[in-house]
Amino acid sequence: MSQKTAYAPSSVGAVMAIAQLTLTRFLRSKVIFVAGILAMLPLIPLLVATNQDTEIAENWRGLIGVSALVQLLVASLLTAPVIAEEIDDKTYAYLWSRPIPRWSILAGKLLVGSLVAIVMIGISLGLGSKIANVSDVATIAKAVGGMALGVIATGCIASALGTLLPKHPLAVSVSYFLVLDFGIGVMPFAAARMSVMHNVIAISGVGPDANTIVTSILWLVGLSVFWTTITLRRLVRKELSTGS
Amino acid sequence: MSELAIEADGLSKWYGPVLGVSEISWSVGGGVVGLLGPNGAGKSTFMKMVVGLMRPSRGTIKIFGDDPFTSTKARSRIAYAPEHEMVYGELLAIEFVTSMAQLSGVPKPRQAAEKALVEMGLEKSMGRMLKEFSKGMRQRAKLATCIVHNPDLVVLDEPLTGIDPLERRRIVERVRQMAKDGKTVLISSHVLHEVEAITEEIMVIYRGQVLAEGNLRKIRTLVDKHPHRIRVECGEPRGLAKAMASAEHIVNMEFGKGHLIVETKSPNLCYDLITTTCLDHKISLRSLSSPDNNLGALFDTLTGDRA
Repeated sequence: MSQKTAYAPSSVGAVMAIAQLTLTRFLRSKVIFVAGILAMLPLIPLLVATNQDTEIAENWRGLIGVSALVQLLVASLLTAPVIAEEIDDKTYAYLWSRPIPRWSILAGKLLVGSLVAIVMIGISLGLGSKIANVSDVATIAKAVGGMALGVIATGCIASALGTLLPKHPLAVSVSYFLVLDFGIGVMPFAAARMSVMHNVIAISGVGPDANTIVTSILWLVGLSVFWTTITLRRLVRKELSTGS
Repeated sequence: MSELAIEADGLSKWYGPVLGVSEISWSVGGGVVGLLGPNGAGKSTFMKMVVGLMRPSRGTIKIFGDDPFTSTKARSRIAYAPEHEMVYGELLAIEFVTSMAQLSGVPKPRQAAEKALVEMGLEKSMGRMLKEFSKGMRQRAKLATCIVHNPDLVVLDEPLTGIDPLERRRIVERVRQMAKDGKTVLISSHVLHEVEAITEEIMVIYRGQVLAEGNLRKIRTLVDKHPHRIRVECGEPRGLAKAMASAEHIVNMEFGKGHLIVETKSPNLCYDLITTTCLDHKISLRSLSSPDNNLGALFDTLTGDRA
């Protein structure tokens, strides 16, 4: 047989190709609309509150609290099924048989899911700041930064849960965040640091731990690394045998 | 020294206590090889290990000298079309093939995708969504993803299952062209005459074990003793049966709700007869498929003889 040069993409090229494929599919799915509507939900209680002449600071705290919870749901919706749906739909064969490292599949999908979620939450916060009459750039920037880190951590956890329990990835992820993450986050102990929501609120400059932003950032990074390691270990070893 | 495309040594795979593939030692250097066996024989399991979707429980598999499960170098020389027809339905055909070209590192993915789709006869449909495609068109779109990066080894899992005769002919032509282009092609089927139309080199697999390999003619005579079954779904099964009743190669016909099962000694003649009769008598033909119990019966006979 004549030997020829075989093609193979660079790691960055593989991540970008997966990201492009994922984005195209997102833009033609209903998920993007559902996520968009969810992201705007915090504006409803804010509008109600502003009509009742409550204080600006109180409105802002309320917006951050609800947004921190909503970002968990939006990020879950956009990232939990990314690997599981490939397995469930049997389309994994097209990706797994290509000459790309398996981590690049997760990276490309998480990149797009997280970016879309960050943009949506960012728009929601921007509108919220107008409604709440908050104009301090540093305050808004802290909130957007906190939410962005929260989205990334949520995405890492949600995609890990989806990969470990691929039958009902979204249900498992949402249950985790609404029960465990929320439950731990409202505890008055140090254990609350294990909650994504708790740390997002702290980085955003509200809540009891608002003066320890660096610690909250480190916790979110740690949670992201921990769960991503689990996903990658699972993904690299995973055999795909759906079908006959 | 010539390089082996596939080299399996003592290859075994279990799904828990269930045996998928057992002790396969086999190699191929080039050409088209048909992987023949009834449903559940282990063909798909073997192919998934060839393309790196699964790793063996025991033994080794090398593709051009490398382990396909861990080596991107090995996978860069492989193309795989899975058995199922699941595709990214929300993508246009051109987007699907372009994405696969990008994932294979092809320098100009869009142009390569267009070329591959043209070669598969989908030039007029490349701007359509895959969910609008017929089964045969989806198969051809999958084949386009298999040639877009010019691989050395093409692995096709049951590409002819459940598609109409016209699409079948198109796909057979494309697979033959791949072989002419110098690719090693491994194609599976549970229907003997499908493989026969493409190649004479076969490996027969049954209950996870290699039953026979080499030239198809060796088992052709054995198979001919067992009539081939064709399931015809059409508008008027009884009218079709009546029109074909005089054909010598037909040995039996059975009716079901909206379908007819024909048993024949000559599958190729029978397929032609069915399509021409439907055309002549203006009978709507919905699908043709091969339950092909004759192969299973043959394999049972062979393994019974061994035992």
